[in-house]
Amino acid sequence: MARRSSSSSGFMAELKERIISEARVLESPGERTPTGIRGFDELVRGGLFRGATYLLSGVSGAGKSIFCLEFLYRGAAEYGEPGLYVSLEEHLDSILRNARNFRWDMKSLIDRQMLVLLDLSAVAVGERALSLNPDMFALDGLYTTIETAVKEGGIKRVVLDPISVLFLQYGNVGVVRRELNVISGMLKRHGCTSIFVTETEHGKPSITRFGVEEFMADGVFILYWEPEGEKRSRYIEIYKMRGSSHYEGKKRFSVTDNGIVILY
Amino acid sequence: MVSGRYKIVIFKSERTPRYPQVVKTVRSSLEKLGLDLEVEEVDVSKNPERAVREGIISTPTIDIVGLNWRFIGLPTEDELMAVLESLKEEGETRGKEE
Repeated sequence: MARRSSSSSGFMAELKERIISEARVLESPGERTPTGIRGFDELVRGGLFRGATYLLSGVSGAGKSIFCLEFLYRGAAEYGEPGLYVSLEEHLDSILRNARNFRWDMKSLIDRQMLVLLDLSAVAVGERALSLNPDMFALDGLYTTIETAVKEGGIKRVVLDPISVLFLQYGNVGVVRRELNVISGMLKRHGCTSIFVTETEHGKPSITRFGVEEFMADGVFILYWEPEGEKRSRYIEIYKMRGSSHYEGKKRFSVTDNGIVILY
Repeated sequence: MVSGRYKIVIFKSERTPRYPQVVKTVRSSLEKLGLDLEVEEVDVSKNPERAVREGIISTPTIDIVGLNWRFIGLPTEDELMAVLESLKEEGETRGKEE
Protein backbone atom coordinates (compact mmCIF):
# COMPACT_ATOMS: atom_id res chain seq x y z
CA MET A 1 0.00 0.00 0.00
CA ALA A 2 2.77 2.38 1.00
CA ARG A 3 4.72 1.55 -2.14
CA ARG A 4 1.73 2.23 -4.37
CA SER A 5 1.04 5.59 -2.76
CA SER A 6 4.72 6.65 -2.94
CA SER A 7 5.24 5.78 -6.60
CA SER A 8 1.87 7.28 -7.50
CA SER A 9 2.75 10.64 -5.88
CA GLY A 10 6.15 10.53 -7.60
CA PHE A 11 4.49 9.94 -10.94
CA MET A 12 2.00 12.77 -10.36
CA ALA A 13 4.81 15.14 -9.40
CA GLU A 14 6.69 14.24 -12.57
CA LEU A 15 3.57 14.62 -14.69
CA LYS A 16 2.87 18.03 -13.19
CA GLU A 17 6.46 19.13 -13.87
CA ARG A 18 6.14 18.08 -17.49
CA ILE A 19 2.80 19.78 -18.05
CA ILE A 20 4.11 23.04 -16.60
CA SER A 21 7.28 22.79 -18.68
CA GLU A 22 5.41 22.13 -21.90
CA ALA A 23 3.02 24.99 -21.18
CA ARG A 24 5.93 27.38 -20.77
CA VAL A 25 7.46 26.27 -24.03
CA LEU A 26 4.15 26.99 -25.78
CA GLU A 27 3.99 30.44 -24.17
CA SER A 28 7.28 31.53 -25.67
CA PRO A 29 8.13 29.42 -28.69
CA GLY A 30 11.30 30.14 -30.52
CA GLU A 31 13.12 32.56 -28.24
CA ARG A 32 16.79 31.86 -28.78
CA THR A 33 19.97 32.53 -26.91
CA PRO A 34 23.24 32.43 -28.84
CA THR A 35 25.92 30.17 -27.41
CA GLY A 36 28.58 32.59 -28.65
CA ILE A 37 30.70 29.66 -29.83
CA ARG A 38 32.08 30.78 -33.16
CA GLY A 39 30.24 29.10 -36.02
CA PHE A 40 28.01 26.94 -33.83
CA ASP A 41 24.95 29.18 -33.71
CA GLU A 42 24.77 29.14 -37.50
CA LEU A 43 24.60 25.33 -37.42
CA VAL A 44 21.43 25.49 -35.30
CA ARG A 45 19.97 28.50 -37.14
CA GLY A 46 20.49 31.16 -34.50
CA GLY A 47 21.34 29.65 -31.13
CA LEU A 48 19.70 27.43 -28.55
CA PHE A 49 16.09 27.73 -27.45
CA ARG A 50 15.88 29.51 -24.15
CA GLY A 51 14.70 27.15 -21.41
CA ALA A 52 15.49 24.00 -23.38
CA THR A 53 17.71 21.11 -22.33
CA TYR A 54 20.38 19.84 -24.71
CA LEU A 55 22.51 16.76 -24.64
CA LEU A 56 26.18 16.98 -25.53
CA SER A 57 27.51 13.54 -26.27
CA GLY A 58 31.01 12.51 -27.12
CA VAL A 59 34.07 10.39 -26.56
CA SER A 60 36.87 11.32 -24.19
CA GLY A 61 39.04 14.08 -25.62
CA ALA A 62 36.42 15.29 -28.09
CA GLY A 63 36.10 18.74 -26.45
CA LYS A 64 32.89 18.39 -24.43
CA SER A 65 34.12 20.24 -21.34
CA ILE A 66 35.61 23.04 -23.45
CA PHE A 67 32.30 23.42 -25.30
CA CYS A 68 30.45 23.66 -22.00
CA LEU A 69 32.89 26.07 -20.40
CA GLU A 70 32.71 28.33 -23.45
CA PHE A 71 28.88 28.15 -23.46
CA LEU A 72 28.91 29.42 -19.88
CA TYR A 73 31.77 31.88 -20.37
CA ARG A 74 30.20 33.55 -23.46
CA GLY A 75 26.79 33.57 -21.80
CA ALA A 76 28.10 35.41 -18.76
CA ALA A 77 30.66 37.67 -20.45
CA GLU A 78 28.80 38.56 -23.64
CA TYR A 79 25.09 38.01 -23.03
CA GLY A 80 24.73 38.84 -19.34
CA GLU A 81 23.43 35.36 -18.50
CA PRO A 82 24.84 33.96 -15.24
CA GLY A 83 25.94 30.36 -15.54
CA LEU A 84 26.21 27.31 -13.30
CA TYR A 85 28.64 24.45 -13.89
CA VAL A 86 27.86 21.30 -11.92
CA SER A 87 30.74 18.88 -12.03
CA LEU A 88 29.86 15.31 -11.19
CA GLU A 89 33.21 13.79 -12.07
CA GLU A 90 36.11 16.17 -12.55
CA HIS A 91 37.43 18.21 -9.65
CA LEU A 92 37.01 21.96 -9.99
CA ASP A 93 40.72 22.74 -9.83
CA SER A 94 41.20 20.53 -12.87
CA ILE A 95 38.37 22.30 -14.72
CA LEU A 96 39.80 25.71 -13.86
CA ARG A 97 43.26 24.60 -14.95
CA ASN A 98 41.72 23.63 -18.27
CA ALA A 99 40.07 27.04 -18.54
CA ARG A 100 43.40 28.82 -17.99
CA ASN A 101 44.51 27.57 -21.42
CA PHE A 102 42.12 30.08 -22.94
CA ARG A 103 42.08 33.86 -23.04
CA TRP A 104 39.00 33.91 -20.82
CA ASP A 105 38.80 35.87 -17.59
CA MET A 106 36.91 33.24 -15.62
CA LYS A 107 38.12 34.61 -12.28
CA SER A 108 36.42 37.94 -12.79
CA LEU A 109 33.16 36.17 -13.70
CA ILE A 110 33.41 33.96 -10.62
CA ASP A 111 34.18 36.98 -8.40
CA ARG A 112 31.12 38.81 -9.79
CA GLN A 113 29.03 35.63 -9.35
CA MET A 114 28.27 35.52 -13.03
CA LEU A 115 29.74 32.04 -13.01
CA VAL A 116 29.06 29.53 -10.25
CA LEU A 117 31.00 26.27 -10.09
CA LEU A 118 29.65 23.41 -8.02
CA ASP A 119 31.92 20.47 -7.34
CA LEU A 120 29.89 17.36 -6.58
CA SER A 121 32.54 15.05 -7.98
CA ALA A 122 33.52 13.51 -4.64
CA VAL A 123 29.91 12.69 -3.91
CA ALA A 124 28.95 11.39 -7.31
CA VAL A 125 31.98 9.20 -7.80
CA GLY A 126 31.77 7.92 -4.24
CA GLU A 127 34.96 8.99 -2.50
CA ARG A 128 33.68 7.52 0.74
CA ALA A 129 32.30 4.23 1.91
CA LEU A 130 28.98 3.78 0.23
CA SER A 131 26.26 1.17 0.08
CA LEU A 132 23.70 1.48 -2.64
CA ASN A 133 20.25 0.12 -3.25
CA PRO A 134 19.71 1.28 -6.83
CA ASP A 135 15.97 0.74 -7.03
CA MET A 136 14.85 3.10 -4.29
CA PHE A 137 16.08 6.61 -4.66
CA ALA A 138 15.26 10.07 -5.97
CA LEU A 139 17.88 12.59 -7.13
CA ASP A 140 16.33 15.19 -4.86
CA GLY A 141 19.61 16.29 -3.31
CA LEU A 142 20.97 17.14 -6.74
CA TYR A 143 17.64 18.77 -7.65
CA THR A 144 17.56 20.98 -4.59
CA THR A 145 21.26 21.87 -4.83
CA ILE A 146 20.85 23.02 -8.43
CA GLU A 147 17.56 24.82 -7.79
CA THR A 148 19.03 26.68 -4.83
CA ALA A 149 21.99 27.86 -6.90
CA VAL A 150 19.69 28.82 -9.79
CA LYS A 151 17.35 30.85 -7.58
CA GLU A 152 20.05 32.56 -5.55
CA GLY A 153 22.27 33.36 -8.51
CA GLY A 154 19.62 34.23 -11.09
CA ILE A 155 21.23 31.52 -13.21
CA LYS A 156 20.23 31.31 -16.87
CA ARG A 157 22.66 28.69 -18.21
CA VAL A 158 23.37 25.33 -16.60
CA VAL A 159 25.84 22.57 -17.41
CA LEU A 160 25.59 19.14 -15.77
CA ASP A 161 28.81 17.26 -16.53
CA PRO A 162 28.58 14.30 -17.00
CA ILE A 163 25.22 12.66 -16.38
CA SER A 164 26.73 9.33 -17.43
CA VAL A 165 28.28 9.13 -13.94
CA LEU A 166 24.78 8.98 -12.47
CA PHE A 167 23.77 6.14 -14.79
CA LEU A 168 26.97 4.29 -13.91
CA GLN A 169 26.73 4.84 -10.19
CA TYR A 170 23.06 4.15 -9.66
CA GLY A 171 22.76 1.48 -12.32
CA ASN A 172 19.01 1.81 -12.68
CA VAL A 173 18.79 3.55 -16.05
CA GLY A 174 15.00 3.99 -15.91
CA VAL A 175 15.01 5.73 -12.54
CA VAL A 176 17.98 7.98 -13.40
CA ARG A 177 16.29 8.98 -16.66
CA ARG A 178 13.06 9.80 -14.80
CA GLU A 179 14.97 11.83 -12.21
CA LEU A 180 16.94 13.76 -14.83
CA ASN A 181 13.64 14.55 -16.56
CA VAL A 182 12.39 16.04 -13.31
CA ILE A 183 15.55 18.18 -13.02
CA SER A 184 15.21 19.23 -16.66
CA GLY A 185 11.60 20.26 -15.98
CA MET A 186 12.71 22.36 -13.01
CA LEU A 187 15.38 24.08 -15.12
CA LYS A 188 12.81 24.82 -17.83
CA ARG A 189 10.51 26.40 -15.25
CA HIS A 190 13.34 28.71 -14.20
CA GLY A 191 14.03 29.61 -17.82
CA CYS A 192 17.48 28.02 -17.82
CA THR A 193 19.07 26.84 -21.03
CA SER A 194 20.88 23.66 -20.07
CA ILE A 195 23.44 21.25 -21.41
CA PHE A 196 23.65 17.73 -20.00
CA VAL A 197 26.89 16.00 -20.93
CA THR A 198 27.17 12.30 -21.60
CA GLU A 199 30.11 10.17 -22.63
CA THR A 200 30.29 7.60 -25.38
CA GLU A 201 32.90 4.94 -25.91
CA HIS A 202 35.35 5.43 -28.74
CA GLY A 203 34.79 3.17 -31.72
CA LYS A 204 31.21 2.35 -30.80
CA PRO A 205 28.51 3.66 -33.12
CA SER A 206 25.95 4.61 -30.45
CA ILE A 207 24.87 8.22 -30.01
CA THR A 208 24.81 7.89 -26.26
CA ARG A 209 26.28 5.43 -23.80
CA PHE A 210 23.07 4.15 -22.25
CA GLY A 211 20.73 4.58 -25.20
CA VAL A 212 18.18 6.69 -23.30
CA GLU A 213 19.83 10.06 -22.71
CA GLU A 214 18.80 11.44 -26.11
CA PHE A 215 15.09 11.00 -25.41
CA MET A 216 15.00 13.55 -22.61
CA ALA A 217 16.71 16.33 -24.56
CA ASP A 218 15.36 19.01 -26.90
CA GLY A 219 18.50 18.68 -28.95
CA VAL A 220 21.50 16.41 -29.24
CA PHE A 221 25.00 17.46 -30.32
CA ILE A 222 27.70 14.88 -30.89
CA LEU A 223 31.42 15.57 -30.63
CA TYR A 224 34.04 13.09 -31.76
CA TRP A 225 37.49 12.85 -33.25
CA GLU A 226 39.01 10.91 -36.10
CA PRO A 227 42.70 10.20 -36.71
CA GLU A 228 44.23 12.05 -39.65
CA GLY A 229 47.77 10.92 -40.20
CA GLU A 230 49.54 11.50 -36.92
CA LYS A 231 46.98 14.06 -35.73
CA ARG A 232 43.40 13.97 -34.64
CA SER A 233 40.63 16.06 -36.17
CA ARG A 234 37.60 17.01 -34.13
CA TYR A 235 34.08 16.99 -35.53
CA ILE A 236 30.63 18.06 -34.41
CA GLU A 237 27.23 16.90 -35.63
CA ILE A 238 23.79 18.24 -34.79
CA TYR A 239 21.85 15.02 -34.35
CA LYS A 240 18.57 16.54 -33.21
CA MET A 241 17.24 20.08 -32.72
CA ARG A 242 13.59 20.06 -31.72
CA GLY A 243 11.60 22.91 -33.29
CA SER A 244 14.28 24.00 -35.71
CA SER A 245 16.07 23.03 -38.86
CA HIS A 246 19.81 22.57 -38.52
CA TYR A 247 22.93 21.80 -40.47
CA GLU A 248 22.98 18.18 -41.58
CA GLY A 249 26.24 16.30 -41.57
CA LYS A 250 29.52 16.66 -39.79
CA LYS A 251 31.53 19.85 -39.36
CA ARG A 252 35.16 19.99 -38.43
CA PHE A 253 36.15 22.25 -35.55
CA SER A 254 39.32 23.36 -33.89
CA VAL A 255 40.17 24.48 -30.38
CA THR A 256 42.05 27.76 -30.32
CA ASP A 257 43.33 29.83 -27.38
CA ASN A 258 40.03 31.69 -27.60
CA GLY A 259 37.79 28.65 -27.65
CA ILE A 260 36.09 26.52 -30.25
CA VAL A 261 35.86 27.54 -33.91
CA ILE A 262 33.62 25.59 -36.27
CA LEU A 263 35.45 25.22 -39.57
CA TYR A 264 34.09 23.30 -42.54
CA MET B 1 28.84 4.95 25.06
CA VAL B 2 29.53 5.84 21.45
CA SER B 3 26.63 8.22 21.05
CA GLY B 4 28.73 11.36 21.57
CA ARG B 5 30.97 10.72 18.60
CA TYR B 6 28.45 9.25 16.22
CA LYS B 7 24.98 10.04 15.00
CA ILE B 8 22.75 9.10 12.12
CA VAL B 9 21.38 11.67 9.70
CA ILE B 10 18.62 10.58 7.32
CA PHE B 11 18.19 12.86 4.32
CA LYS B 12 14.74 12.81 2.72
CA SER B 13 12.35 14.84 0.61
CA GLU B 14 8.67 14.72 -0.29
CA ARG B 15 9.46 12.38 -3.18
CA THR B 16 11.71 9.98 -1.27
CA PRO B 17 10.55 6.46 -2.03
CA ARG B 18 9.40 4.43 0.99
CA TYR B 19 10.67 6.93 3.53
CA PRO B 20 8.75 5.55 6.54
CA GLN B 21 10.39 2.19 5.87
CA VAL B 22 13.84 3.84 5.95
CA VAL B 23 13.20 5.37 9.38
CA LYS B 24 11.75 2.10 10.67
CA THR B 25 14.80 0.14 9.46
CA VAL B 26 17.22 2.58 11.11
CA ARG B 27 15.39 2.63 14.43
CA SER B 28 14.88 -1.13 14.63
CA SER B 29 18.54 -1.76 13.73
CA LEU B 30 19.68 0.53 16.54
CA GLU B 31 17.28 -1.09 18.93
CA LYS B 32 18.40 -4.61 18.09
CA LEU B 33 22.04 -3.63 18.58
CA GLY B 34 21.26 -1.72 21.77
CA LEU B 35 22.83 1.44 20.39
CA ASP B 36 21.67 4.80 21.72
CA LEU B 37 22.47 7.10 18.82
CA GLU B 38 20.85 10.39 17.92
CA VAL B 39 18.83 10.15 14.69
CA GLU B 40 18.30 13.40 12.80
CA GLU B 41 15.90 13.66 9.86
CA VAL B 42 16.67 16.36 7.29
CA ASP B 43 14.26 17.28 4.48
CA VAL B 44 16.53 18.53 1.70
CA SER B 45 13.74 20.42 -0.05
CA LYS B 46 13.11 22.46 3.12
CA ASN B 47 16.77 22.63 4.10
CA PRO B 48 18.67 22.90 0.79
CA GLU B 49 21.79 24.37 2.38
CA ARG B 50 22.34 21.07 4.23
CA ALA B 51 22.14 19.19 0.92
CA VAL B 52 24.66 21.59 -0.63
CA ARG B 53 26.99 21.60 2.37
CA GLU B 54 26.96 17.86 2.86
CA GLY B 55 26.94 16.91 -0.81
CA ILE B 56 23.69 15.00 -0.87
CA ILE B 57 22.73 13.95 -4.39
CA SER B 58 19.95 11.50 -3.76
CA THR B 59 17.40 10.57 -1.13
CA PRO B 60 17.07 8.60 0.98
CA THR B 61 20.66 8.90 2.17
CA ILE B 62 21.56 7.52 5.58
CA ASP B 63 24.73 9.20 6.78
CA ILE B 64 26.48 7.55 9.69
CA VAL B 65 28.34 10.58 10.96
CA GLY B 66 31.70 9.73 12.49
CA LEU B 67 31.99 6.48 10.61
CA ASN B 68 32.30 8.07 7.14
CA TRP B 69 29.71 5.69 5.75
CA ARG B 70 26.63 6.40 3.68
CA PHE B 71 23.74 4.27 2.55
CA ILE B 72 21.93 5.44 -0.55
CA GLY B 73 18.47 4.03 -1.03
CA LEU B 74 16.77 1.66 1.36
CA PRO B 75 19.17 -0.85 2.94
CA THR B 76 18.01 -4.07 4.49
CA GLU B 77 18.18 -4.31 8.24
CA ASP B 78 21.02 -6.83 7.92
CA GLU B 79 23.08 -4.47 5.72
CA LEU B 80 22.63 -1.59 8.11
CA MET B 81 23.31 -3.68 11.20
CA ALA B 82 26.51 -5.06 9.65
CA VAL B 83 27.90 -1.52 9.47
CA LEU B 84 26.52 -0.38 12.82
CA GLU B 85 27.92 -3.48 14.50
CA SER B 86 31.37 -1.86 14.53
CA LEU B 87 30.00 0.95 16.70
CA LYS B 88 28.65 -1.54 19.17
CA GLU B 89 32.02 -3.27 19.36
CA GLU B 90 33.73 0.08 19.89
CA GLY B 91 31.28 0.96 22.66
CA GLU B 92 31.89 -2.36 24.41
CA THR B 93 35.65 -1.94 24.18
CA ARG B 94 35.44 1.54 25.62
CA GLY B 95 33.17 0.34 28.40
CA LYS B 96 35.75 -2.25 29.43
CA GLU B 97 38.56 0.33 29.33
CA GLU B 98 36.56 2.65 31.57
